[in-house]
Amino acid sequence: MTNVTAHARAATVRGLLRRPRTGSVAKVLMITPAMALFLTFYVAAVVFGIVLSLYSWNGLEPRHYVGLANYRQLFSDDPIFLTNVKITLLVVVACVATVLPLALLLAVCLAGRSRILPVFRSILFLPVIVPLAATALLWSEFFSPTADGVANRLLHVFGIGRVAWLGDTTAAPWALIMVSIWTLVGIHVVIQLSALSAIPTELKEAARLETPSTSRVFLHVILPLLRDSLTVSAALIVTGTFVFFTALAFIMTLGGPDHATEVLGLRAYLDGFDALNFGRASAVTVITMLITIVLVGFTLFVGSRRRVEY
Amino acid sequence: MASIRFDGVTKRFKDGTVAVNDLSLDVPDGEFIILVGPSGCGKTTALRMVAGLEDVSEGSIYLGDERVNDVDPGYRDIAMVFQSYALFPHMTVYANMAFPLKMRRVAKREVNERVREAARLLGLEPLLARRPSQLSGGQRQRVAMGRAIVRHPAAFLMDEPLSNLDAKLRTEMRGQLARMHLRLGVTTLYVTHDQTEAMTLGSRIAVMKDGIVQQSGPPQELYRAPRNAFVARFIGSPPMNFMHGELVDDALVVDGPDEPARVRLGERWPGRSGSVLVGIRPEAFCEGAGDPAEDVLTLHGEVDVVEDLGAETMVYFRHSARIPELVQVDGQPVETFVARLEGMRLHTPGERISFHVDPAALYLFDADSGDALAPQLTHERL
Amino acid sequence: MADGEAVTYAPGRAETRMERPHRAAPPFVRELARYAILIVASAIALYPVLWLVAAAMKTQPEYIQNPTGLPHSINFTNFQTVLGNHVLLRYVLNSAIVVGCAVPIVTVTSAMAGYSLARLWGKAGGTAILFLFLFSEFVPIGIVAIPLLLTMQQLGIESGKVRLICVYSVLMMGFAVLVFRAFFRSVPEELREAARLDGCSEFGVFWRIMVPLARSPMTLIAVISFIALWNELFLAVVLLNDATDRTLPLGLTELRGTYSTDWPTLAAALLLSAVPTLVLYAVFQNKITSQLSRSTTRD
Repeated sequence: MTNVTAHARAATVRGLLRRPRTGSVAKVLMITPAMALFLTFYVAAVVFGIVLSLYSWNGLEPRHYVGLANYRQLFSDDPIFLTNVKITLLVVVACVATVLPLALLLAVCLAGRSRILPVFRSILFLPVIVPLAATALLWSEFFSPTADGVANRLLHVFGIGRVAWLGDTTAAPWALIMVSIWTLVGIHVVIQLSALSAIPTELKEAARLETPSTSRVFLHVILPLLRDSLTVSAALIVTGTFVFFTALAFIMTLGGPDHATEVLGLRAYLDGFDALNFGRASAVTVITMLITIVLVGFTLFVGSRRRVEY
Repeated sequence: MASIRFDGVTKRFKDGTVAVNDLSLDVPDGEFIILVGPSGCGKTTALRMVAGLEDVSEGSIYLGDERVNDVDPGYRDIAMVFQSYALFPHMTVYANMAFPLKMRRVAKREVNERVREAARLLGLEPLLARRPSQLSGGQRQRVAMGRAIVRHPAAFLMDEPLSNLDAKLRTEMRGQLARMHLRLGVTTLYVTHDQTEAMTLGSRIAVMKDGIVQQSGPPQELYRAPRNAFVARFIGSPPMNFMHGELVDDALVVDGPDEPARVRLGERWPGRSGSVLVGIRPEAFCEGAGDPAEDVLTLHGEVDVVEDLGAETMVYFRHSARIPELVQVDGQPVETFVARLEGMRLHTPGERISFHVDPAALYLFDADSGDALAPQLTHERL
Repeated sequence: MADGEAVTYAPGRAETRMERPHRAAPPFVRELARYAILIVASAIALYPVLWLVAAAMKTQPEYIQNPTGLPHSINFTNFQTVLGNHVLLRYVLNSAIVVGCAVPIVTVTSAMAGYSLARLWGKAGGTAILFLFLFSEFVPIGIVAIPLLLTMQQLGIESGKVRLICVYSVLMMGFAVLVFRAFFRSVPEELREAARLDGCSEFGVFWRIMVPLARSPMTLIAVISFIALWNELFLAVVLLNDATDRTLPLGLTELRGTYSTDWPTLAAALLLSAVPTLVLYAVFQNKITSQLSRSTTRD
């Protein structure tokens, strides 16, 4: 008998010693590779950006600390910066306001059992897959300011005169916004479609039994259930536009004409590579980050407020 | 209130499957009719056609005097309780129950009255401000019922509303459903695969298989006088035992361990010879070998498993009689018979055991079609 | 149920305002509207791409004459010109190396991280780490491109290819970790417990049980990452300093100068560069769109 109890006790002690250790070692080890890369090449950059924004540096001479001088200069002395912020906000709002309803509409159209619908879905997703370089260059050619440019020819069909498109300060940002919408809608159509399909059929049927009007069913039952996916989509459009539009503007207009398409991301690039003012570039980056956080936070906040239906 | 009538209704799906085949059924005003059958038998499809959620391929469905085949579900004045309750997760209990009235633009005050009346009926008053995710299964079920009655519809349709509840809750809710029907008296068409539910809830049952109604009538009638082997096996728990037998002259002969068992049928003889399927309800078995003088069917077998349920004992035993292949549980052929004995009986696995059965308690079915062979007595002794 | 209470049940229509027309708004009208919208949208989505294909098959003079119409004939000469361009081929090679390294790195590290977040980490640590990855989803790495460049310089990483491999790994990581975490949470805990009871270590559980199960999300992440990284442009612009290191998208934009008057050839180059991603998309499109979506047939 005593042998058994001694054996059992030893086993318990071994068990107690063994369990917590391997668990915590494994979880740390597993996350380390990802974390190492992530910290080094993202977090470090963020932190470095914040730090560097307080310095003045042109890449060659040693940097010297200037505190908030970069920020002060941007906000008080720099009319172009205001344009940067304005155009960035315009682009973001325009994209969200267009892409979201459009994606929802298309998702509703795509929801069904017909076998031809997946074909449409694939076609609508295609612009997402087209490489950015191709998109940018193709649309650049499309928006050629000559009368032979494809866009101008289309206008001609409608009896409108030719537009300078990328050379025109009013038209350029809108041209780029159109390209952004063309590219990004596909992703969100798919996201909304998935959310739409996730609504249990029985809910839709229960609603149908109470009213034959599909629009009322949509308004009272489906839309509230889509609120979460719409919020996520909105947030992703905000961040996606920031990055995508910057790259687009970089290739198609390089911020021109006359800073009309110079969004914040591009401004940071130009400050860094053209003006060689890395301090100011970092300050712009920090401001960009803050604006992104605020916009995304706002979107998520608006989207998560629960309306009590009484 | 209205009656529901199926008139030669057939439902054919796009891939060709016939879910409902020439269904004709009358649900008179105020009655509680149950469609029961194994999954895939078409009962849910039939129900959904009444709701308007499925189109009718052939035939007509009438609500009251009106043919409703082409009427939009929202206009049919029926309410449905779904198997998963289909409560709107983003609305409170109150809002869920108010939804049907809101959709019909009923005045706010009346909405309030009716919702509270339904809530009182179902004991939901303390829950009105909660959301479905904060409710238990039983509470959700009651909310689904509340949403159905708040409109005072002409008829209720219920699609297996109790199957998602645990056993105890199910029994309780069955009682509540029965009481509600007594009080409100609304025409109800109820679908379930659980024959116990069917037997206890409905004033009439219709057993369906492969889209065809096998038999319809009061529960007791289906139990005592099943029209075919399917109904006989479907109704009753534990299910009826089946074995192959031969009709020779006016006697039934069944395989036995040493020699065939034999019983004279007398008036029970269906008027022909040949192979038959013999059905015996578990409660028809009497312990002991039976007096050879009295003409009874004696079976000698070996005990397999004994279930002591307190008030009764189920004895599963093996016998050399051949069990038809189509008698299966869950896809596996059945190899034992089951006898239901009263009280506590001490039997052990492996023990040799004998039962006898009164020929009046035997059910005879055609070996090919499964149809019951006349004459059937009403078995008062049971 | 409240017993013994009087119930006034007066069945009948709850309201009087509903008429009884039969099927509301014939479904055929709705279907017509639906397909009309889809056709218009698809045309808008497809036309630029088709236009590009058409342009690539025209000769330069043909294009000037007729930019919007169909090509004379199916002409592959532009494609041949492009394929003969050695500089371009070097860019392709660069892209292949960079993306070819980054994709497996992302897939594997994110899978491990995602699994450990799903099952091994507790509330405190887990939420903090998760927050970090979520943050990177909402403040994408593209925004901190300039500081990133400076970080690289500080770290002394000069090789353009190495820089891109590191950054590309991080680019998709946030998304990948979230996807893997969600996936592994859907795998029942019992599998892991049963394996542990059988003496398997945590790593063993991951490699032997979880990874084989995760083949689907892993393929998915690999494909999505490949497509996104193959097409990535801005970070390449910022981080590369040596012309020989250029990746394909970057190289193509530079080509604008070489082929500035020869759009058809440039179009051909663009199309060819899109081939790998288009092929992957064609093969995996169902998986891709159904990761972002459930099956449409549920409607």
